[in-house]
Amino acid sequence: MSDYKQYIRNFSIIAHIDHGKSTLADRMIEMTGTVSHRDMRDQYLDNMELERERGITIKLQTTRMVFHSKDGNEYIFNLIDTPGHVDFTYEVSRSLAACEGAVLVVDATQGVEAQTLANVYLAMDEDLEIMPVLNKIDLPSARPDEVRDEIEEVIGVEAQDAPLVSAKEGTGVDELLEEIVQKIPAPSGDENARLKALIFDSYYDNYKGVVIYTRIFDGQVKEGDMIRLMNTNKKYEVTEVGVYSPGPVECNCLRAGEVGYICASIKHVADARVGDTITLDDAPADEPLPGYKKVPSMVYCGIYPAEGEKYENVKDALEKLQVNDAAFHFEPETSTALGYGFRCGFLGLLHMEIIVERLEREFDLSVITTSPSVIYRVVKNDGTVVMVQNPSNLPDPMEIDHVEEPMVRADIMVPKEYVGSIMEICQERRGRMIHMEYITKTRVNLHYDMPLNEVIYDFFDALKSKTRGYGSLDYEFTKYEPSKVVKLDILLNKEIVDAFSMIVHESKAYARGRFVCEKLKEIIPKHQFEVPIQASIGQKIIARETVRAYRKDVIAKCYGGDISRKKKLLEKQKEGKKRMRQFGTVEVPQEAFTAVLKYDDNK
Amino acid sequence: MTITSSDNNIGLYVHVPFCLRKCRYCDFLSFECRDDRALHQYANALMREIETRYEEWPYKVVDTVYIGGGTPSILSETDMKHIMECITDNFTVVDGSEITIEVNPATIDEKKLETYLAAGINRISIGTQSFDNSILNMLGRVHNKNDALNAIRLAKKAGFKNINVDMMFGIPGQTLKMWRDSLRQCIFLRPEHISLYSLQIEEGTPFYQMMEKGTIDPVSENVDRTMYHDALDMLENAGYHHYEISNAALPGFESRHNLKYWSYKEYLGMGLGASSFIGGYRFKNTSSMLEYVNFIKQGLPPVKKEDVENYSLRDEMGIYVFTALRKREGFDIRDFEETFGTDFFYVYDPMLITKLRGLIKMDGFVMKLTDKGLDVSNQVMAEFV
Repeated sequence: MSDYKQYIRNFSIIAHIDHGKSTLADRMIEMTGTVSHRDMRDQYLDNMELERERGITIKLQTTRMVFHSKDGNEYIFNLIDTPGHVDFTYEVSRSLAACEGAVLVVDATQGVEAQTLANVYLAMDEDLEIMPVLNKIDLPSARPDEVRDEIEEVIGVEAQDAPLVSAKEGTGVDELLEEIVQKIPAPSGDENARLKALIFDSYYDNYKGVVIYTRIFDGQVKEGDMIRLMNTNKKYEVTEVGVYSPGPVECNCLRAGEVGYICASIKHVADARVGDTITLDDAPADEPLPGYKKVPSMVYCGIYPAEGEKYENVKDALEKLQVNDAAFHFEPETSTALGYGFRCGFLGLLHMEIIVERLEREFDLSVITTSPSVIYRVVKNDGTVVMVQNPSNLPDPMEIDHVEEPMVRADIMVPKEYVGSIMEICQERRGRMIHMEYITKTRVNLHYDMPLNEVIYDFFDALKSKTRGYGSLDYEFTKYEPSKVVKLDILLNKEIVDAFSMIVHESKAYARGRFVCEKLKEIIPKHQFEVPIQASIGQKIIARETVRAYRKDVIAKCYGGDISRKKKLLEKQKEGKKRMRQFGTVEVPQEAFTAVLKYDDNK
Repeated sequence: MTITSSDNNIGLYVHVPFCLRKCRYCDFLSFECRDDRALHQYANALMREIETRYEEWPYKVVDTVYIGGGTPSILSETDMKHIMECITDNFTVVDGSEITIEVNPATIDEKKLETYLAAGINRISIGTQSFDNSILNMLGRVHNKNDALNAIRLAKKAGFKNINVDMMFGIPGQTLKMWRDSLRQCIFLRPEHISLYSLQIEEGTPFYQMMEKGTIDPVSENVDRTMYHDALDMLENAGYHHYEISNAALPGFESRHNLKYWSYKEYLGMGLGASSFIGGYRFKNTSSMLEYVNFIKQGLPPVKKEDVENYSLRDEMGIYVFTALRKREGFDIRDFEETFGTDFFYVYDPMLITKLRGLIKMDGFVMKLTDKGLDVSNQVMAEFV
């Protein structure tokens, strides 16, 4: 009984985005026969349509596989697939805490990237055994020897005998599975001790209520047990326990060392917060497991129901999304331009884009998002401090002593030929270089202190664009620093549209004001009257554009009685109007709100 | 959806999709063709379709025929004569019907015109567009100013008592003065009917590419509208009745065929890509010549299933309104209510009238576009679809 644990391996795969993590996971699932070849589809664990489409993993997934090793034993592998983007560091840290080891996938053509490093550090924080693997060795441009040296040099883990695999073609995957058995430690823990289990993810199921993904550290849990969540101190009766393989499979009990799911008719996801510890009500553990690393929201924006969309529906959808995503939160707010809506906090821009896209796709909602903002620390003359995440809430300039903005330490890895242009875009964004190091002969790691504000607008897009996609970025909040920021307002037809207001650095105000005015001029359709677009700081107008009135909107010819063609044109026009948002007498297309944020290569 | 117009007489439209040369602005269904045999084959196919179509709608009485294109006058006299015979042999065409043919000034001569008249064609529409050689050249027309003048003269001499001249404005390079001069010239010739078209640069045309490259500058909206309203004033002063957005005529010469399109009347289109509204159905012939010929060979109407529209009653109401608004006299909402058996303001929010103030006006029960509404008619029409 006591030796079942030695046949369990709990591990994650960590990698930089695009290094083939999901493909490798697919191959493992297929080669262990967890899913029959017939049912196999690409990127098996990326369930969300959005994930498949973008080719990225957003939500972590877990699956149990049975591996028949050459040593004659049967091993249980619990693989926890994790997201790869900088915004989801938090999700990665959650899943890592449930593992004993991490398979580090490095693209043999590209080498170590910023995100690879960031993930490795997270894994090291959790004391995981790190097992490097070189992927994409089937490509002619693979340079495994160099990349091995790179891994040892940069990360400091032994890599000379790292398996060479091609996840795409399946070569080397068998050896890799054997290696996992050898290298990754079996879980420890005592199944007879009091229950201690970690919630590392959860989602809401319409039939079962909240489904908790958990790693049992000590003790065991089965159907009918009364469990207690140590953080919220709430009690529930377990209705089902099981494992994912990769679909849910019910089982009798989950024991120390195992990974699986628990259902306990939990109605509110907020009651089963990720990071909480599960224990038994009648025999509770003395203390909860060490808490998860809590990542605060870095970026805020307003989300408003678009024309014709119900406030309640948006609220319900946000609540449902919040269930699965502890890093996302929201509260009601109102805007004079957009009415009732929500102020939402995100980990970063991608996180924000994903939430908005999910609202649109999974919940079929149409929403408007306002300019993202960081949280400013405003110190007033009387010494009080206000945290401002909505530009509309910035106190009157007369009352402000000074404002502080959040700074991040940004690590940017680029091939050396791009260093010049990267320095340029960092400088434009008020970055201060701390130092620069050569990782290899051709690759450089640049360390910058930068205002988060500058990073969230368009930095990532600019970086990708300037380095043809070769640059990678990781950043981490460091501190608040005094800064000269001002509130920039946008006026349409002389009226402030608060949804466009933003807080920007003084030195950027003119350029950004001009940029927004120009962008809006392109996007706002002609009206029957002239529409002035202005940018202002306080009372002072700093930029102006005008949308000229249209004089003509006709289709002269309607040939040979082809009414349907004209009808379609008119319908399209009408449809376009529906997607407009009315501000006073001015109609603004919804895409205007995101368009003013996009990086423009020509700027 | 089946709605039949109260007036049972229908219009026939016959499409000839060939031109000597494709104009630079043209995005109509038309091909360059100088091969007499191909033209003749098309004429034969067309006649087969006319026979097939008659069998489908034998009880329909025709009081307008419109032979359009392309350039119908590109067909030989014999072919045109046979097509007309085919129409009158099959369909019941009432006496006094309006029978129009479109011609290009460069493709007609006395003999052709006489054939047309003898075949029963009593209205001719001449694709003049302009009396300015530089503009005609710019448009890529095959004719010049003299051809245009000559064509109108020939038509009159041959005995046509109902002549339309197409005029186009808003052409890159065209000044206000050039436009006024051309139109003055046109009015001086006193055709019974004048069509005014504001040039639209459509995607996929050579003009569009030229615009993209920057070799031509589209005329500004301001200039375009000034040209339009100047033209309306000139026409009105000369005694023409501006009866539809792009058409004016001496009293009594309003095009009865075109008015069918705007008055929710039935029409049957024949030939490649022709549209029909008949027996409560709207459909469109295939635009592929190969498919067309195949359908005809099998004795079938050349309509693909997906080209039969499946409009709801509400769709049809929208069509009724947006077509009717093209007429200067507008429409009587009681006629709408009689056609659809429902209250107009039950279907449309009365607030629309306020919203569109300045663009439409109500005269008792009659709704029509204002002068300002003419310039932005799409904005108005989009509210009703």
